[in-house]
Amino acid sequence: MTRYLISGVPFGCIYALVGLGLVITYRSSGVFNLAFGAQAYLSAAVFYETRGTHRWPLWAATLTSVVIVGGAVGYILERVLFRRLRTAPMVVRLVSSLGLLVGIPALIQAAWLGVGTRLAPPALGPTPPDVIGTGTDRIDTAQLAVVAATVLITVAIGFMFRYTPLGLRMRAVVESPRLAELVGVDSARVSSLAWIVSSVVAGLAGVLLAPLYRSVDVFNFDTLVVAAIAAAAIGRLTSLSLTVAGGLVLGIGQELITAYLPLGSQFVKGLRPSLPFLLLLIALLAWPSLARRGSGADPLAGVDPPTATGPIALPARIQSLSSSSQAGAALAVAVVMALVLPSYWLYVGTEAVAMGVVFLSFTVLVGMSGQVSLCQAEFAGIGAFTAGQLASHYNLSVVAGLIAGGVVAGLVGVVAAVPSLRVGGIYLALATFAFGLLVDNLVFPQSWAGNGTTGIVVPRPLIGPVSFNANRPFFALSVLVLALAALLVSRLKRGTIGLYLGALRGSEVAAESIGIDVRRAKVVAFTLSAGVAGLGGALLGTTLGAVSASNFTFFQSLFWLVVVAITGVRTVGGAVAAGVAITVVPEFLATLPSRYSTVAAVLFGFGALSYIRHQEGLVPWASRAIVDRARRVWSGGGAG
Amino acid sequence: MTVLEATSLTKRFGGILALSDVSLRIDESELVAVIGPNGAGKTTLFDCLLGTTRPDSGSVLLDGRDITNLPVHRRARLGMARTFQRVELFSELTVRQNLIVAARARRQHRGLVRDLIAPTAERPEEQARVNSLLSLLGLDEDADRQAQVLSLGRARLVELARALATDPSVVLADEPSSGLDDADRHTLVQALTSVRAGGTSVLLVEHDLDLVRAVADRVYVLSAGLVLTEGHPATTLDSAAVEAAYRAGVDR
Amino acid sequence: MSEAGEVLLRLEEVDAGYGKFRVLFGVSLTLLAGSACAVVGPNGAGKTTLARVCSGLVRPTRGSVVFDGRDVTSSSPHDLATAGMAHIPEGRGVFASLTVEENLVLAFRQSTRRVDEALEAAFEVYPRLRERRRQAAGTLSGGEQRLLALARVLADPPRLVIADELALGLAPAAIEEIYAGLGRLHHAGAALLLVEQRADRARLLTNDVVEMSHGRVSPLQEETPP
Ligand SMILES: Nc1ncnc2c1ncn2[C@@H]1O[C@H](COP(=O)(O)OP(=O)(O)O)[C@@H](O)[C@H]1O
Ligand SMILES: Nc1ncnc2c1ncn2[C@@H]1O[C@H](COP(=O)(O)OP(=O)(O)O)[C@@H](O)[C@H]1O
Ligand SMILES: [Mg+2]
Ligand SMILES: [Mg+2]
Repeated sequence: MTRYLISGVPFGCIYALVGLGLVITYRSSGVFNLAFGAQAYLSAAVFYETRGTHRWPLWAATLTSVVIVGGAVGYILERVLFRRLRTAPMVVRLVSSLGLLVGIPALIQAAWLGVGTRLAPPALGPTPPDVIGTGTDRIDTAQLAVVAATVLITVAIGFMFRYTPLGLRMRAVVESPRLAELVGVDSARVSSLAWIVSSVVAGLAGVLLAPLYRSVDVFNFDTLVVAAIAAAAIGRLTSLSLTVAGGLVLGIGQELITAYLPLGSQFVKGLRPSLPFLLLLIALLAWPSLARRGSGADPLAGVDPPTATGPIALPARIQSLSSSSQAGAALAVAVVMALVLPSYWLYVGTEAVAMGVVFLSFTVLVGMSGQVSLCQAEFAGIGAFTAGQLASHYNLSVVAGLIAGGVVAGLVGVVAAVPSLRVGGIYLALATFAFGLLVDNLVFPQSWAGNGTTGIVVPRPLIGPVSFNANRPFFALSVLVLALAALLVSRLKRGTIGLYLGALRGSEVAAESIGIDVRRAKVVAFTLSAGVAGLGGALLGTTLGAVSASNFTFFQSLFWLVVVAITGVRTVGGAVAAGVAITVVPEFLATLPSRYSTVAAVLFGFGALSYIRHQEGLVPWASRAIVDRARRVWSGGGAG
Repeated sequence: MTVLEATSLTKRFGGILALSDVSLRIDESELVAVIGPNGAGKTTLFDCLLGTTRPDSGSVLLDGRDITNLPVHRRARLGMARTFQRVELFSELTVRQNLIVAARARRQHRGLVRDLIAPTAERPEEQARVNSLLSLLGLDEDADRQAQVLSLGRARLVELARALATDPSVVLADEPSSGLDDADRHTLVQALTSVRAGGTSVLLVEHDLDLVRAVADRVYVLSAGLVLTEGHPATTLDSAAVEAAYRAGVDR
Repeated sequence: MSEAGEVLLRLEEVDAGYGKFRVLFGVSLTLLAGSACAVVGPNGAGKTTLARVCSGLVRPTRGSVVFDGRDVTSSSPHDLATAGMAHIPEGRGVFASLTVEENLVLAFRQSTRRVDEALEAAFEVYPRLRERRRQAAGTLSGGEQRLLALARVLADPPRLVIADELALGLAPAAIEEIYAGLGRLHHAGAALLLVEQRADRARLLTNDVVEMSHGRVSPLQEETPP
């Protein structure tokens, strides 16, 4: 037993170190920085180049990769990005950091390292690390360095927050940068410093952790960050020592699972990597003080002009006219496409249509209710696998399978809605993220679900004698499904539930006080959204013909949110455009040399930054700009 | 006839006794004011009446029915509404939408099905009610502005209008005049009077004693969580007890 | 440095607003060092916006702001705060997540006095804050939050204090206490710019009252010539 306790400590410290980084960034800047892994990766890659390839002395390589590069990245991110976000809503901050998570590694690979490179990293200490002790009771110098760094950072940063003027200022600036300015604090400088400090921690984590994985691979860092979120949540995103404790519990827990649970079953195999997410979910659901409604909102938020996200102040009749004319135009385009496009592009178009349905699920949840879900890909997966399994086991027509997929996903959505009754904002986002990862690890690998990376077959539908195997009729069918889903969503949006959800995002207490059943409204939103995602997933499944767990991972959940945030998460048009963008853009880029295969990710990742200025999304923004211009021309012509 | 009745409400926050054995009663068409220094427990009283906070002990009756254990939205549907000391508007909706959602939430619980079959937003009876409230509170000009850009005084009036849009039998107003200018205060007084004339009872927390004198039928004086005294404004407000409470018990 | 009687703050033909929405139209205002001036007017007149323009929270789109002989039209709020302008904003003017003591220390670190001395002085004036020094400021009552915001400037009086409806939502006795604090500040040599709905309370401190409506100012009383 003690043996596992000891061997769990280095692993625990790894989680703790990254968890600390997340907590430090959150406390000092108010951003839950999911791009932490990307920053760590960058420093690790620089360390590899300088120390490994060019044989710089240790101190120079460390200084360059951790302090200079790490600090510079933090400084630049703050200057160009997070400074503007200090007063932005949580969703905006989250999406921007997701954009970086997607964009930074893709940029590094496209511009510098090349795609898919896995570097064998040098360690800070001896390379390969010296091993201390024997047999199972051993620890190597690389692990030792992690333990030491964890202790050091906890003490140093803890001291900074609690006892130094800078720490006090950071906390003040996080609550209200403008109130801080009014008492004489240079908020911009403080927040630059906060980002530099937390980015140096990220860099240090990257350099220390890379040797433990024997490769500098962005995927490792991302999974690590994801697991470390659990440690940070146990620390309530504020307490450094609780975060370390959480990391240790994770590390030791995983060792114990390996030691005491019988290996071999698919389920236990998934359990070890899932432990952090289970713990994360439990922490979010059971930790009492997280449920408290936020009291530290910025008292000077009223200084900002309103964002253009609200109701467009057009009379209802004109608005419905303009959206029905948009819908008409889209349908006309679809008909023309169905007639003229070559078969391959029709196939791409069908994929776009299916993704459009999936993106409509974001419109319902994120757009209408303002709650962020980071498990939409899992809902889509549930829809696809339901349709496929029903078709192969019960010979159920895929058309019925589409509906069944939506229904099953909707039912699962009820379960996923449970955290939303207790926590909101960033914590809810994390809870859905944990939920999605549990589904990824425990459900999708099973043969009765997604059958792991092997996948399952989802046949094309057959209605009576009409087969939809050919791309052309199938395209028409998909467009029909999309049109129905779009109609559904726009009716919800304009109807009572849309109004209720709009009220809820303004003020939950006030919504209750006029008789809205807040819990019911939230569950309804989750269920409908999951249902639409399931429908879209099933449609995507039959489009592709075969799908596997790797089509619907947590990464897709994040990536899809980024894409739809760019085009417009609040409107049906934005969702449809997202479907087109995510399928068609990569098709065009596929003509580039393979080295640049990550360019799409770079585009979407950094494209997410447009969300800061245009929270309504590029599509509604552009269409409004066009309407405005037309109106001006019109009235100008009338006057002159 | 008694509309709302609270008996022996007690609420403790850590070491602070925010409400201590508070009882109160409002009759139909009555306008009752609650006054007292900051921190006396007035807002906590409202929270307990509407259910946002659960009292440690005591009970609340609405129209003779025990509602102590009902959730907030159920109480609202039974005919209670309130405004908030710190304004809580639906910031992204327009003023009109703020009222419409309230008018709808009180009455309609099968919204989802109706959305899918007959989605038209316009419902004449709702529109009529909302329009009359907008003009009652002088909000016609602001009707299509987003709630988040309103100045504080306007926002307070919108909150009151929203509470009234649910067609409540009793409305709790938490410092509705704070932040209002003279013109808006005048509108407020008129609105309160006409609401009461229409048969709705009002429970009002207010620091402006002139306003209380002008509109209230009865006054409760609350200090340090205790009801000091209760009675007609003319006699109660000038009593030595009130004077003492306002001087001594401020901001505990 | 300007002596008493010299111009401390001057706004010239200021236009300002939020995004496309214009609130102030050609507002001019002059305030002498050590004097007091009240801006009154109905809701939505733009008083808060005017206060925000003075302290740099809102940038004017036209016109200029001069403080202590320096053009500060595009200075940041912390610059102005360091230069001796203290703006106590409308609503909650304290950091809810920091303790009472931390709120004070944060402000005193930026001032010229030693932190522990200033802290002692603040607690001397408002002993009630000393009792609650370790309590999160967000859990204070409304009146106490205002006192805390005042205490922040009282310990080391700046050259100008902008007080935006500090009496709002307070019981009569609490209002008296707040106004006593403002009087004290004035006595210590700080110029005051008071924002109020109505002139009656403000007249306790000053006869120089300007009225705002629809984003424009007009003198209610003879304005002191510069
Ligand atoms: N959520 C809370 N936690 C701790 N104390 C509270 C809470 N809400 C109110 N109080 C305390 O209860 C007392 C009564 O507050 P409140 O009802 O807001 O007073 P009033 O509305 O009369 O000004 C105050 O001392 C206040 O600090
Ligand atoms: N952040 C904002 N965005 C848009 N309009 C605003 C904003 N803040 C205030 N306003 C508008 O500016 C006008 C003046 O507001 P304000 O300066 O707060 O007035 P006062 O303080 O005199 O009540 C009001 O019409 C208000 O609706
Ligand atoms: Mg109150
Ligand atoms: Mg104001």
